[in-house]
Amino acid sequence: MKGLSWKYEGSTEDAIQGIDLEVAPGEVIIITGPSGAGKTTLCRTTNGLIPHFFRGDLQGNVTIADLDIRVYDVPVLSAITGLCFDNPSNQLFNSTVEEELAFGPENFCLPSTEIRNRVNEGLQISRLVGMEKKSPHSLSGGQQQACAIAAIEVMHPQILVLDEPTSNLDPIGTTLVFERIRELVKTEKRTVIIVEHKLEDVLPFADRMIVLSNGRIVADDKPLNVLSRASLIEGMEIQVPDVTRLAYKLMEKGINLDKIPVTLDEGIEAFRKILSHRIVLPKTSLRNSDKKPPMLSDRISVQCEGVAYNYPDGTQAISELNLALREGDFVGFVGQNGSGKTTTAKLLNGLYKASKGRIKIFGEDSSGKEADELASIVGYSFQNPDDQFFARTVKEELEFGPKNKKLPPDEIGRRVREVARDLEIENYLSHSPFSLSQGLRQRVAFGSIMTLEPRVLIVDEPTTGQDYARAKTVMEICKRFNDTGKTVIIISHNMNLVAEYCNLIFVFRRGAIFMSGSPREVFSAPEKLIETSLAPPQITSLFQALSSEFDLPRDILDVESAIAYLTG
Amino acid sequence: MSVLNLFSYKEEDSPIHRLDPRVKFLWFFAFTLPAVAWTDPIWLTALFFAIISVGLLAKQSLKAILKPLVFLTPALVFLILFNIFFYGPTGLGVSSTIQPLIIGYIIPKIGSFGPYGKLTIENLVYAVGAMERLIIIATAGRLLLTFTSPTEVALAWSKFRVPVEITTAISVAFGFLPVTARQATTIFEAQKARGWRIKTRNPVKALRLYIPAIIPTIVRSFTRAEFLAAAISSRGFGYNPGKRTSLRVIRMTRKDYLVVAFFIAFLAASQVTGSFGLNIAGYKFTACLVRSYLHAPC
Repeated sequence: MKGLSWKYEGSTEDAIQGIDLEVAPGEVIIITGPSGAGKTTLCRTTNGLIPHFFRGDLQGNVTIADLDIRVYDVPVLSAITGLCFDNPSNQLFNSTVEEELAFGPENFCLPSTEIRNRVNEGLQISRLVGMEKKSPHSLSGGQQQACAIAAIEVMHPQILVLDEPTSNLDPIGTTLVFERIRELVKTEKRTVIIVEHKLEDVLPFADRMIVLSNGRIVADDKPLNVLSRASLIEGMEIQVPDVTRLAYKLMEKGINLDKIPVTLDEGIEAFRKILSHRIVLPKTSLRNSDKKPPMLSDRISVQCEGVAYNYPDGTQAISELNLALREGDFVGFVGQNGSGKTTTAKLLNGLYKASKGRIKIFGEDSSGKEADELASIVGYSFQNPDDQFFARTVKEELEFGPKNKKLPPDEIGRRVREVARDLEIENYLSHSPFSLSQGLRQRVAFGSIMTLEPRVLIVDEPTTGQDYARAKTVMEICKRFNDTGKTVIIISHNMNLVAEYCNLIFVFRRGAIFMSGSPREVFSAPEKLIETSLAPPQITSLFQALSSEFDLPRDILDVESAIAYLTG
Repeated sequence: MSVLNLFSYKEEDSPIHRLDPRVKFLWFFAFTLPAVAWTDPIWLTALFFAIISVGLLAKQSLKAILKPLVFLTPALVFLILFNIFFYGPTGLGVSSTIQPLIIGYIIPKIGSFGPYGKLTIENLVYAVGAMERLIIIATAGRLLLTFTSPTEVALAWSKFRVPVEITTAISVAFGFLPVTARQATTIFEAQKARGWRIKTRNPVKALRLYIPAIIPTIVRSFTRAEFLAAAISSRGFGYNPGKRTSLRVIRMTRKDYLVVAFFIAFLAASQVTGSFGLNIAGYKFTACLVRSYLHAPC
């Protein structure tokens, strides 16, 4: 890429500008950076989707294996570059797994015997042997993405480009996908470009790391050299692996490590060395304590007694659920996809009706109430804001809930003004919600629930598909709401954020609560947690691994506490 | 989802599933065209049993074959009433010397009011036949989709020289149905969570109230369609459409040819026995049986 710039049709700004990038065969590159930095746009130029599929203005040159992307169209370039997108459900479109894998080779006019070989190869790569006749949409999220990657891989492209391949996946799915990618990198020696926020998983096998910001490359170097630029990393709010961040923080305090760790194992090795040489002397007097939300009261807001729920086809989704949440609790629902978190949330706001048991909201049985009646008590913010926008302006979107409740115009006006002010969207009230950026759209979606002034707020997957900075913004909004004494429930796969914000965690497994407690209690029992395929934050795991050797606490939940503990 | 499931392909290892998809299409025509030619309930019942037998042979349970007919109830009720009241079998059957056999009136004579809704044996038999015709066509069509995968549909069509763009579009549309259904459910739930509810029986008003669900559905469909098109292009679609190959190559076997011969013979016979030839499968067949039973001339 030489002097590459691209502006989408109708946009006033370049999505990417002045990109100079050369990738050698066999290189593995990670691209990271905040949302809207131009990462996806960059990926789209690698197989000609830009400029042939998306419309806009292209400046500069891009050649892929000596082919100019202006001259060759997507089908030709896709024989060289295999591009896999973030959301598996948007790229699987055949009726069976087998047909999904055959689709690419069929387009390249391969004989049917060769297509069969490629399908078998794809089934091996994706570990979907035996599921060839299943619908791709009936697979788990991780299996779907593994299928999507395999469907690209069977075209045997020289270059593999993966645009946030795990952003929509749960921890098991993420592990499954990264294992497949690691295998491809190791065995096939393929050129791989991965756009990813979860650096902990990809850094170990990357040759180079590129940071994009505002459409420009702001860093392009060996991964550890990039990570050592603390001001850059903090400015971008990139989620650096805990052990790496701890190492750099210690270096700032004059404690040097031989090698900067990235993975947990490297971290254990590096910190064992400095602890055994007594380079740092832990402050054993410092102990963690559970944090308590400021307005936590003893009054029960949500209570489930022996609740069960069956799907319309008879499958049991929830069995024997018992929980009690207090006003002011900041609660995290964690667990793999399909473990019952979202179903429980939908039972609480009345979208689903319990087949057995009782749900009480502020002491009142909610069984006879419909979702629209409960909406102003239990607010539910869906993952994708685009699932609800329909109005011409942001103001109308914010008014929708209170209008459904038939509130007087004065009251509606007051609520809209207050919510718009709290979420800093006052300047956008007359804008179309469809014209806003993803971050603003999410705030508007959030605001349209807040104008109902619920006393309990459920936020479904606020961190999925978001960069760390944006995920934190959503969490901060939830925290402000919680600070007023309201109950907040978040459903998330990001253990760092759950550990940072929640005072109570429920771990779901197979439609039931498997364990619950404060983050310290839940994360200091990793042997139990592992049964749900979840893992504590990396920093917690590091301290737990070294706890018996050096008498370290097992309940350190964040890097800041770790530094305080190690250096005082 | 339940309505969508009605039209989804059910993978099984059965003699019907193993037929060439072109033969499956021929089966559909061979078993539904008689329903157009025949009007007699007894003949049509026999045809319906034949269709059910094919369904059972394709490893579908009797319940799975018959249950979806519940969805036809409104149409069937309309059809039977319409035929009884407005559409007699005039000119089709009974000779002019023999009048239709009146068995009563829906609304009897009360004083100077009525009677209305003349009910004759001929009307009733014809109406039952009309109802059966609809049942036969619907059942055969649905069964065709349960034992013919979208890929087979595309393959069969490509053999009939339908362009690859169209066959792929059909195949993708079927493959994407579950996603579309899930999307619609999420949108409805998201709006309900904002207190949205339809509480009117006025259809015009209801349509306006559905806007909060309709607009996100359309917008999401467009954005999804764009992602989907990008994904399809990124897998090399359009590389050389004229020479596109396929994992599955369909070839007619001897068994397929035998089945084709049988279907064609059956189709020809059905048309001859129907109103286009001998006309022995007309409604008169049953009507005469009933009239004889009632000792009425036929």
